[in-house]
Amino acid sequence: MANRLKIFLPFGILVVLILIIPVLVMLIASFQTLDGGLTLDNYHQVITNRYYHLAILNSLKISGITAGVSIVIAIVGAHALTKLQTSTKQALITLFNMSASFAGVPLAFSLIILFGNAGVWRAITTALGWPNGLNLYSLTGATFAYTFFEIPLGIMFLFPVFEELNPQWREASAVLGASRGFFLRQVILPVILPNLVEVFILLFANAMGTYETAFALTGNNIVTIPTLIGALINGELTANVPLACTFATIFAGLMTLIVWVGNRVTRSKWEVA
Amino acid sequence: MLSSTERFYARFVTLLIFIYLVMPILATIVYSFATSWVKTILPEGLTLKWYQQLVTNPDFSAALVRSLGLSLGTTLIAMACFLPVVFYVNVYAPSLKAKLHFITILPFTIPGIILVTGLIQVYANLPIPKSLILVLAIALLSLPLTYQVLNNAFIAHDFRAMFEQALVLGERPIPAFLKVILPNIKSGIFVAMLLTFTSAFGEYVLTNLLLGGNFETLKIYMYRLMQSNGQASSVLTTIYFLFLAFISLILILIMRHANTPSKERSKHS
Amino acid sequence: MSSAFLALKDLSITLSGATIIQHMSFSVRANTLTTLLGPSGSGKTTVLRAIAGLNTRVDGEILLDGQAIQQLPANQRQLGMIFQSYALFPNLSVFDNVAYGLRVQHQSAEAIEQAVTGMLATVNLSDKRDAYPHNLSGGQQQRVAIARSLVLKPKLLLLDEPLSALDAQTRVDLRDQIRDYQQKLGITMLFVTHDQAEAMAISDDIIVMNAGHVQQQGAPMAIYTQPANVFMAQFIGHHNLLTGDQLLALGCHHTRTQAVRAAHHYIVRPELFFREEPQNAGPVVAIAGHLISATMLGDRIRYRFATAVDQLTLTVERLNHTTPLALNQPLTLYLREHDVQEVGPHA
Repeated sequence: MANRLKIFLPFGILVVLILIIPVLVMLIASFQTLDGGLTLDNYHQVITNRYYHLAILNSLKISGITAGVSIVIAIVGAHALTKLQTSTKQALITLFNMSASFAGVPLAFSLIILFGNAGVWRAITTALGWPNGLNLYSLTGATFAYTFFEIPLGIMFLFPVFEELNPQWREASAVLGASRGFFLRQVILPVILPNLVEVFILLFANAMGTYETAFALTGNNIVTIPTLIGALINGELTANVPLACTFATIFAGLMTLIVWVGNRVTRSKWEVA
Repeated sequence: MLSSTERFYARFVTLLIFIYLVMPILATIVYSFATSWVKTILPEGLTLKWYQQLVTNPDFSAALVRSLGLSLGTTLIAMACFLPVVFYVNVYAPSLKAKLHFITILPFTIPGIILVTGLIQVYANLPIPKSLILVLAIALLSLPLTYQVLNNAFIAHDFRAMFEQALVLGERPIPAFLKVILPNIKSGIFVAMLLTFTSAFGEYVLTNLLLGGNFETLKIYMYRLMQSNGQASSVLTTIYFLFLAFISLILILIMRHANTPSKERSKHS
Repeated sequence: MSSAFLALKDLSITLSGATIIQHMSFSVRANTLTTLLGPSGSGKTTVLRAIAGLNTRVDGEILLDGQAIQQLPANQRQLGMIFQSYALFPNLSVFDNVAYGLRVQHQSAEAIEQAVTGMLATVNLSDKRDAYPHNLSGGQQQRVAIARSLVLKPKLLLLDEPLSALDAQTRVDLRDQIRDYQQKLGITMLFVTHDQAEAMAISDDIIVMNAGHVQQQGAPMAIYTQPANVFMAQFIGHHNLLTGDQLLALGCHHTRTQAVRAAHHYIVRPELFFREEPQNAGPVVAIAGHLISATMLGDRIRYRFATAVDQLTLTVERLNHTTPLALNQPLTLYLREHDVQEVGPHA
């Protein structure tokens, strides 16, 4: 027992100091005023303030669309990846991992060079007389930017799922006389659907929590929940940490709920307990 | 067993996605060598002067040193906290593994922006150095990644039997760990350290909000440059990309080196 | 010999650039259980997959019941196939797995209910109809896979090492059950295995393959007693494989049919050495030496017998009810010349 304590001590201290205490304090602070009194006013503001509604709506819009588009591309990509040679697969996974870690300031900057007002894309479309469709600093622009890390992330999550599908299922199905479509409907789709839902939720949650890319790309032009929290903390609006705590609490509660419900829904009766 | 059309399709699709993802990075690299590239299809000329300018700037070296120091500290703390736990759970208490699984979804339910809110509320006015809190917080945020990589390192062998064998042969626990377990998981530990280091090196949210720009790491510096000097920023972004590419290369080489038989075993267990 | 139900004519198979099978021909009689036997890498699974239509490139002809099927896609060949890994669909219950092929054919719910229930009774899994594959033992899973194929009444059932993933006892039980289904339902089965004992135990016919070629085809008895060449002699169990030189040195100058030739190979089966000199058995060779080891095999004991002739060691087997022989004592064993079998010249 003494040994066990020693082994868990550093880990335990870290989790208590950096995770448990801050999250609890955050929860309490979400019910406090700036000078420490108890109040429900923060929650009332979140519910009534138009600007805050916009932040929530923007976050949901960007995250929903990014996660949806990215998972479709990731399905195609991860499926294609399983058909490559083993060494190529491993190298590509590492490269996808790299491009996911490129998210944030460097990604925002790169996209501005390519698609910004003075960018190459603008030069090309102007030269060809095409409409300059993409406004990078808009909601669409942010959604577009998010795909650059959501797609590789989705591929990395989905690759093991596709890799574990037994190729002999398809062969067994063919010998039993079934067409490819019948097989996809009856076997593959039911088998991977829970994973697809799970990965969609993770991609959605990841986009919801993205601060760096949104902030670096649009500053405070496009307000999302994370950039709003950031602004409330460092005083770009007016510093109001308790209100930031309220948003953070709502966010953490909502995400925990979504992930938990997702887990419940996707647990199927044929899966090993 | 694949037909050539299938293989062609797979390569084509992967290549397409890869090009899409790499395109902005490539543009940045070209931009960093361009004398000027504004509203034209191709850059006007090529030069190395932006590199010279950035590398000789004292702000750059200061930011680099801060980032390296921060990453190193984070990596050491992360290993000190997680390695004993992963070892213990794998060797002595596999049943605890399921309970620790919540760790892997932590970054999705409590991402950096949420964690930092709580940290500021708690520590903003306490007389504890913020940089210490920062290092600890980044270590915690790297936990899911570190935990999974370390955990994978333990799957390949029956470490419990090996460890107990060493004890039966008269070895004390810590030398037994160092002599029997460590050599077998060292590449896993190395990969975990690299990934922790990389994620700390690229950290932005916590550093920016917790220390409010008073502690200028490479990423913060990059953001400042981005607002003021596009060429310098592109150079810094390119350097950052090269750093990531270098780490990826090391990871690929390690994976090539890792023998496939042990992977086969892990599949069955 | 009745007519060929399945015939492979001049079959060549190329997989990712490498030719695995070259110009292979063999045939399988109707209503038999025929085994494709061979060491791993001999190409037997490749041939089976070609018959099922699961290979991408096949040259030559595959005739099933007189009809050329090599151009048909797998889902139109009306065959059954059993995989080593069972390949059950994890999201479907036992009932739905077995019903899969019937649903493909859009059969009515009552017809499906009736056929599947009957089939599950045949394979003794009626009580598992609502279970999912992961709840079943390996043997049960393989029986579901067999039921899933048999319920479609295939013309031919292909079995690709169906027993290798099972434990020893289940392997023997299921092996006998498969033979039983084959005889009861009167269907033709082609069974791939690398296990000779398994092949010997259930087959009407055995086709031995090595390196993409058929080495020998015949009934189990013929395969065991009359190996056609040196590979066969080495592959089938513990036969003593001797050169003519060695036989001559032991004092054996004739086989049943002809004189021993120095450069040829011969086999002597381990159970055909005698402790006492056999009477009225034609010419007999006496071999002096001593036993150096004994291995208990249950019904038999296997000895290593060191002869007086330059370091030549023979394998000798004796039934367990005879008196055990003492090791390291001078001993003379007797061999009838007509038990010596020629297998061919040096490879």
